[in-house]
Amino acid sequence: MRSTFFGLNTLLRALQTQQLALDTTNHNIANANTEGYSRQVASMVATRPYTMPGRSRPASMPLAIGTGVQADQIRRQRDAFVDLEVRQQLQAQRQWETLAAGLRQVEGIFAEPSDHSLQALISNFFNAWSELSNDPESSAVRAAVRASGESLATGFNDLGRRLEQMRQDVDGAISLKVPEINLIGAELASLNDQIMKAVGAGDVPNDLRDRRDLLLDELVKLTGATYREELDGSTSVFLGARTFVAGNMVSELATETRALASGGQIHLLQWARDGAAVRIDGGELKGQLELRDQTLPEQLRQLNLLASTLAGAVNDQHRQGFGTGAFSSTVSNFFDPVATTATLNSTGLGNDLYGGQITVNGVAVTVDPGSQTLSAVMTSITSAIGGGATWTLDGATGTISITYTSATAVTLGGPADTSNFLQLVGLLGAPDTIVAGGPPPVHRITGVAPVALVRAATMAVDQAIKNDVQAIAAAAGSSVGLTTAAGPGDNRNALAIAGLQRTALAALGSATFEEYYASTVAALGVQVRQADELSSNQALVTQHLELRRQSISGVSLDEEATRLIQYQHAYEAAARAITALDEMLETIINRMGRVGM
Amino acid sequence: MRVTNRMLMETILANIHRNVEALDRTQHQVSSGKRVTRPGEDPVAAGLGVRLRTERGAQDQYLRNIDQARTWLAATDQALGEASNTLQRIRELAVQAANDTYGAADRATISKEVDQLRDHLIDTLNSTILGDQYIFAGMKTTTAPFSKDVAGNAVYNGDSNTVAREIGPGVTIPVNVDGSTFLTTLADLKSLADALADPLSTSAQISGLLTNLDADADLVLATRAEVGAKLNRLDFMQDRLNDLVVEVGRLQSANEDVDLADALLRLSTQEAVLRASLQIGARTAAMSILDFLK
Repeated sequence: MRSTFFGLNTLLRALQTQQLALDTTNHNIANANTEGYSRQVASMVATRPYTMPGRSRPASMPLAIGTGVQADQIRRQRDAFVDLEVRQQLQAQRQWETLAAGLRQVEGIFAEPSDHSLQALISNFFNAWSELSNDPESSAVRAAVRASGESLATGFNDLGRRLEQMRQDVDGAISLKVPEINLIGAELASLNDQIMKAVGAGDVPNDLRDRRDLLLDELVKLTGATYREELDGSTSVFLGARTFVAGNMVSELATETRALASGGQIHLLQWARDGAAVRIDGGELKGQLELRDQTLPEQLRQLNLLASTLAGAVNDQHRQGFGTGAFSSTVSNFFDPVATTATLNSTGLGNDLYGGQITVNGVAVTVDPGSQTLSAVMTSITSAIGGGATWTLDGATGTISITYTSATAVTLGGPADTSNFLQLVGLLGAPDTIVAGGPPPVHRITGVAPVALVRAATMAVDQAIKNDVQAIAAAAGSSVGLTTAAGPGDNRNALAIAGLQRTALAALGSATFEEYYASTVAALGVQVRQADELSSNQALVTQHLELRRQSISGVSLDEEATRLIQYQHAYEAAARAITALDEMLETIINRMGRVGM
Repeated sequence: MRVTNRMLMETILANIHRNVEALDRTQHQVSSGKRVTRPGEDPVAAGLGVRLRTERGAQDQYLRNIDQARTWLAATDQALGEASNTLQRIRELAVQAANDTYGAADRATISKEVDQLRDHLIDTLNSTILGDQYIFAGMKTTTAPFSKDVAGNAVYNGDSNTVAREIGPGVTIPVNVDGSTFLTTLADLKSLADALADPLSTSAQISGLLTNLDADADLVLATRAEVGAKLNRLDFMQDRLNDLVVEVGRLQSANEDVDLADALLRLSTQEAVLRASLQIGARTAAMSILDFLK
């Protein structure tokens, strides 16, 4: 037998449930613009029916009377698979976007194509020499040659410094990312903790999960981290296959500073716990690391090589001629010769060289860029090799080679190396060939890359030329068997130097200066274009996926307004039904059994 | 697909952003007149641009060098013309003096005139370009190439080096005439003057010297012809270079400059698209069910 007040209970539950649904809708409306919010839906289910056994029906088929509604949970509308897809694309997009932005900055530094770029300075420099060949007697033209040489050096300085500065800036940005990542990690761990506790207590912590998903988005955008949902409700996060966050624990990142020989420093990412290197697989940080460790060093290497080859070739020719007046029988360099006599930190190698040690044939050789020259280090290397080892720097190709006599080939480099000297001079992994049979045979190791000895950022015109333009060697000298300039009108060396502009140089891969420069500009353009295209394609994919995510999780105000009406009406109907019941009870209580009263 | 208000806004924004970006790019092209302003826009064009600029720079320099070589050769031509006239006048005087009717006194007068003309020839051979470079001194361009010793013999102070100018890639042209070749001429004139001054000289002796004078005049003429040929070569080179300058300029323009008709067409299309996206965006963004609920 049912209770008289059965209906009241059903309707009370209805009122409460519709109210709850209304509250959820209000929450959705309130958070319509909240970043990372997923809309929530109160899921309503009918309550267990009241079963009333009847006389005319078997006990197994009782009459079931509905008892109304209840909200079993408030569910967050979210698709974990779409999240995964979005994040995979987001990290790639961020990586390419960062790289593209950086490359565009490099593009801006080179300022090509224009009439005021390095190309123009190189062109002007050689044209000034050509002009000097017209008028070798004129001090004014000589001064113009010096000025164009100084402009060229300044042009190289400016490009070199700006590239070096940009590398420092990128490094600064990378080092600032570390505390940011650690902070996100700590917050993720704390959210994990709260979520695990809530789940343990049987709650559904929707808003905490939203917050965690948002942080995961951020972290993935930054680092390309991977993650896994655990059964206890926590999310484990991995950086390069190593655990970053597990449960309520976070393994923090740290940086180690390494000083560059040329000044400035590089922050290496490490795990704070054991100092192992952190592998970053994607995201903004990967883009920045690529800029700092590949793009910019490569641009600097090319620029230094160009400066080095140009200064070297001009100097070689310049020293073959004579100046005029008091200098008609003296030779000098045109550009400041750093070559093998300067300490390593002031050469083009300094941009990427660390002080430390290298291993040669099992022997540790110290590299101190601040005090050692290239010759000093190479001499230590050859003495470590033994077997009468000698080394030479080939002026034409710019490569270093080592010749030695030994029954076995030597090994250059080892796992404990802290300086990348061997790598920079192209000796690491360079081929070892036997050039004479022996026994013991004579080996030769030839460097695989030309060595850039001039650092673009510090290239300068030689002091002798700065002091007196008469020292500029327009006249032919030792190359034609002279010991003194033929006369003020002797322009043969000026013609020879002007002719260098059209000379293909082995060190530049058989290209002229300007061809080499043109090819680096074109290569930079290709890189920018690729990064641009990938980043905009990636942006489209990400946008599309973000829309899908929004489609599932986003709040639609139209929808919520409709639901609001829907729930409101249900609430009103339930209230009306209570009134109806009330009237029925009124009938029973106040009017029944009052016949004749 | 379920579309939320935010999706709608974001799509509208993304599209407007894309349209503005395209418009900005085209506008930049139109206002700068350049199709390529960054290597990334067209790497091949950027690389080619560097090479073409180098080419242009070199051509301008070669044109300057040609002008300079022409100045030198023209000065030489003028000096040689003057020398030729001087020699011609001396020859006339010599022929006159060789006539038996001229006595020793007449010849002595002619001898003085020959001496004067010889000095004039020396001055001519000491010609400079703008007072800077002696053109007949080889590489010793700041030293006057001819002077006279105490005996009145001409002395050459220059050298025999060839002064060359670069008028094309790897193409040089010698611009100077070795002044020392005129020493014989000056010596011949000295002999003539001496012979005329000598009262014992016979007409036959003086006539005998005429052969030398003819050879000297031929030398000057031949040298002048050579200089003329070089001037012609310079003209030819200059014409060719000017053609090349035009050609490289054309290539440069084709490589980097914007096609205005095309760009303006794109500009107006993009403008229309942007306007449409703004209009539609504004219309859809404002729509809400709330407007229709009582």
